[in-house]
Amino acid sequence: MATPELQIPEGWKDRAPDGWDWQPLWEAVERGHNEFTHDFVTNAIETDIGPKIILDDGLFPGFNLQGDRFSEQIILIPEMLITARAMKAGLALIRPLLAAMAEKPLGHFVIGTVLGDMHDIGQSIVTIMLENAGFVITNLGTDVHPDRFIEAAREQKADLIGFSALLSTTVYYQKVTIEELQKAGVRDKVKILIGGAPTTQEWADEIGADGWGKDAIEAVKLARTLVEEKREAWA
Amino acid sequence: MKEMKPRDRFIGALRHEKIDRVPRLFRFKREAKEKIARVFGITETATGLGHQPGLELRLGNDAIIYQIGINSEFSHHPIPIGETWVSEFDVTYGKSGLQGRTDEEHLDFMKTQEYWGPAKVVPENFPSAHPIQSMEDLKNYTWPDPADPRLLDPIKSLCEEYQDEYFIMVDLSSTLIEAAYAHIVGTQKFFLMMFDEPDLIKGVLDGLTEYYTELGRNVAKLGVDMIRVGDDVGAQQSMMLSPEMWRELAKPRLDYMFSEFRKINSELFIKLHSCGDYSPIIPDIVELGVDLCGLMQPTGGNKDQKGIKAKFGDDITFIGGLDVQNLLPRGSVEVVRAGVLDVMKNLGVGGGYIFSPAHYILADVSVQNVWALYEAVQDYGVYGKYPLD
Repeated sequence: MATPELQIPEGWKDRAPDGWDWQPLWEAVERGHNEFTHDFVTNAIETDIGPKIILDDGLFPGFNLQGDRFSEQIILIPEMLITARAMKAGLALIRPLLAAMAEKPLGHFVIGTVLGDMHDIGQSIVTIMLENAGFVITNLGTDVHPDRFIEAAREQKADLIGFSALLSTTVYYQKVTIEELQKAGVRDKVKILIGGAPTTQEWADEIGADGWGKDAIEAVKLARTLVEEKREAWA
Repeated sequence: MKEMKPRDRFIGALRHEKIDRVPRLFRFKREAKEKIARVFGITETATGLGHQPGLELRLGNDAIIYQIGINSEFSHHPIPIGETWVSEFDVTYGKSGLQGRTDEEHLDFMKTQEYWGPAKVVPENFPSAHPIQSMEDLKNYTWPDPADPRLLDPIKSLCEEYQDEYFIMVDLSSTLIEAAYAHIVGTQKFFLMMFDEPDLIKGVLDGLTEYYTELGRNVAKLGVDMIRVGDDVGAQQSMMLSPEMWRELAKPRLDYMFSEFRKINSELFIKLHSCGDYSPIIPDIVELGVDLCGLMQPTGGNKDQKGIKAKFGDDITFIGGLDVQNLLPRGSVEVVRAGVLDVMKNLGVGGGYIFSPAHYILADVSVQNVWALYEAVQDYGVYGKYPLD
């Protein structure tokens, strides 16, 4: 496997004011310096750089680099968490601007940990990754009753639902949740992703999920693909 | 070979000596223990601080394991539905599996649990509030009493009653990094604080080190055979934190702890446990002079049991290795038997191995599979017989 490298966006200089340099922001996101990221993005906005440019040229390079490293286990949860936090600090500033430009989100994603299970660190990393990728997320937290998934999916007219389970004693609730979505007539309006330590592709197939994410990076890739696939329309 | 006394067998495995069969260690969580014990007509099934070893000994355990750390306080404590409980460590715990479920619904749900088969979902105790969030909290925090007779007296009784025959192991988990993130600080907060407020994290770890060192000294004075330190730093596919960070935060503190234990009893055996994949730090664990460590979750990151055994098997004894995530709860009897055979081939050959499922047996395992497990260990765990010939 190749060592992940910083992917410098092609032609970024043409999209930035004269003398502008994104390098410090790439490094800040990579190292998880959230305050620096906040200040740098604030400055970029005040300099009238477009929010989409700030996102693609400024924030993503450092974030993607750490994402790739996380995927290859070169960095682990703590480093990924601080990078995600820095990314979030930058995104919080430009999201309202993107919305004002009527930039359409990739899709609505409802996420949570299944009933009986209180583990949240994995799904919160997935949440941040999905948000950063452009999804709108409703995070229901942990120990989520199937009815709450159904309610939230209806309210949000969700495109995707993801549920996590970290215990061999709670993975069963992934199956139950899918069954309940089926009974409520919601199943075919959404794509379902599952994840969590004891889960496997075989388990995902067995319970009729649409995808299994081995890790957060995989989950985002899957979500991007699945959101394009055909589903029943919400009324 | 003549049948050995369980404690001699266990010690033999730790010293890589020739023994009659692979020693074994089964552990159960409360709901599972109650379920299996009924089959044997065993009614004394307490876990945690009231631990009664009848079922485990019936299944051929060679050691008695008694848990007194922060985990023992929380994971075995009965918490009524909808209520919370605050432990001696000032951590608040609630019960999962109950959101949106009334008492009545819960009773209905419990009726659906298959008595003979695997339970469908078991409500677990989980930390819901953590006592140390700032330097101020740390300053005002009082650690529990490491000489608490409530913790130490039962160990004395266990030694008196069982030590002639069985190996006595006291479990102090969770002890350091895990105790800090899972209980005292909260996981996400802990990882962020490692960067934002490293002194706070070091302060918490120092407090834990002091408490557990003193507790361990008191336990060692009772003449137990082994202290088990449990500290989860492995995730499914990798470590939770980098080996470098572990070497900075955990290794010197564990080193201090172990040397203090051994000042009390130089013959004391030490086990270091972590869930998940922690293969990158096995050389460090060997360096710390640890006698026994677990080969956890064979479904996770490092699956190469044979390779690990070949590399480190002369320097340390391994325990565990049978998958409890899929194989044991969801496999057929044949699959369970084949799993035990594999583990014996990978780890049992040549000695220096103690059989155990990768972790506790939970209520998701059927009675049938526990029996299959027991029989397979009887069949495949004898030295001089296939596959250990």
